[in-house]
Amino acid sequence: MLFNSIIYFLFLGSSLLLYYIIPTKFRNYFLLIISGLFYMYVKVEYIFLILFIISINYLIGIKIEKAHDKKWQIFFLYLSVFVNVGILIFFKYWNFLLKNFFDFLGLIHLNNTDNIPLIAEVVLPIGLSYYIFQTIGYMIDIHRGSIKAEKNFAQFSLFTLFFPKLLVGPIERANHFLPQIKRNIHFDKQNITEGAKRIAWGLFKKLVVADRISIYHSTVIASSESQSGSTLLFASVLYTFQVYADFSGYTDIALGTAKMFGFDLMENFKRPLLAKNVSDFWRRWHISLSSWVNDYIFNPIVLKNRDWGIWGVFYGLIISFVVIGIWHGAAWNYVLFGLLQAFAIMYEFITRKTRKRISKKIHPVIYDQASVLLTFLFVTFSLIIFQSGTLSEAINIIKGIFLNHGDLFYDKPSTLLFMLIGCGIMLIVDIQAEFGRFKFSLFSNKNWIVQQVSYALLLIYILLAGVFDGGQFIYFSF
Amino acid sequence: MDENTILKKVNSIFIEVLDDQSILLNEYTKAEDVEAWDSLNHIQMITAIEKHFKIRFELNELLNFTNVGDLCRGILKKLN
Repeated sequence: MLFNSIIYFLFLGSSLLLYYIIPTKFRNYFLLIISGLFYMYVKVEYIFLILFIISINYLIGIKIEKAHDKKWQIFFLYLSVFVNVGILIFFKYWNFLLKNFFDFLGLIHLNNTDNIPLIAEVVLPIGLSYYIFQTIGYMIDIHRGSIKAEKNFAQFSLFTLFFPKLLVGPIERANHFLPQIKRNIHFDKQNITEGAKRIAWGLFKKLVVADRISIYHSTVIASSESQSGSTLLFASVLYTFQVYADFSGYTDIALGTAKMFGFDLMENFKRPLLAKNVSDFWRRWHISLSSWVNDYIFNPIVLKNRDWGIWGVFYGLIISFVVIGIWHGAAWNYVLFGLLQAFAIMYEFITRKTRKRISKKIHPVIYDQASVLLTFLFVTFSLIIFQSGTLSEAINIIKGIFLNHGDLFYDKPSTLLFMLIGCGIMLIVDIQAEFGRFKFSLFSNKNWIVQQVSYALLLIYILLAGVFDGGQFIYFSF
Repeated sequence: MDENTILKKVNSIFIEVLDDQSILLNEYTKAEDVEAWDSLNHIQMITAIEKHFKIRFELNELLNFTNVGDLCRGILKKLN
């Protein structure tokens, strides 16, 4: 069920109505049932997989906590990681690993994957990468002693199944989400209005910005060899906005939906396009994943190897960003995307003192704006590799940007206008939230009428400029 | 050595490593309260603290510090 479909809003409306009608003590069970139905609507069979994952992790979590011996605690933690990562590898990476293994051995020519032994005909269950990571984090937290294992099976199940975050995150933390399940949630009008406003923003980002750019971008990329450098550059810059609008739009709808049910999910974005360097970008982009990798991979590796000095940091960065890269999918372009981020952050780490000295000699506004622009260009460049199916495709686009002379392609001026207005509104809202530059704000205006009229205009603009073809969210495929 | 003395020394190590004279820590200060205190600089600070106090933290201790107060109490525990 897509968040941008009519059926989703029918589901949401009727679920909300029933949720607040039934007695408080049954509400978590109700959420559990509708979350299960929501997942079954995607594909019925996958409910068995997720129930297996929930059950086994519920039991192992308690075992980790109850084991008095440190060795048994580590054994159960490794068992859990083995089971979870094993499931993820089977569904997401098995064919990729086999293909590369045989390719490496040079045994089989791989134009046709049918020739590879043991190849599995599986489709990645939507949301698997998100809830597996969430579960591993839960296990590590129990092992570290920072949380208690959840003993209530229904509540633990809801931690994984809660439908607003089930398919595309945010990857929640147990210490943030589980206490919310234990409260008695009462109807609060403010939760409904705040949630609805957040959903409206999400729809704007998805339907007006992301899906409109998507039409242009996919046309350009499909014929990238014949496109001019200016067109390829423009499409690549727009793609950065598209991915941001698509994923943060989805997150807005997820957070807005959760809010309506009285839950606060983790923020996943903090105005990433205004980041001043690549490290800063990763503190603002897909925060629930980047902070997960920071807490459970980077910090343990680097702290354990702190005697290695700078090499320990480099080692931790490479492992962490390769994980972030391949988390997106089983392909070499994602590995390269991750490595690029790691190298950029290494460079920033080595040059941090020099850059600080330089910054003192330049006007801060100019220095900051140049930093934002450079970071944006780096992210755009790395996203060319991210979006390309193969490395040669990425190289062709990059070569095309510099070598193909010609005019900018657009089918009609209105296409350009709608895309640019959408990106502009998104940027202005981010700039306002980051710096509070503009004295007059529309959506957070203290005057109730101005605020309501602004949201009404936003909805009208969505209806006028939105793309209503039910385009899938980019991050569904991860 | 008491916790307050440790806090003052930790503060001076933060100022040196992060190259920021304006840093003023208290026991509730968290990473997000200090602009340059990211995970990369965190490692440098831990190394500098261990070197100064001549102590060695276990990995689990380091991973469970949530604020400056935890860190100072951790140092005190090691010194005693």
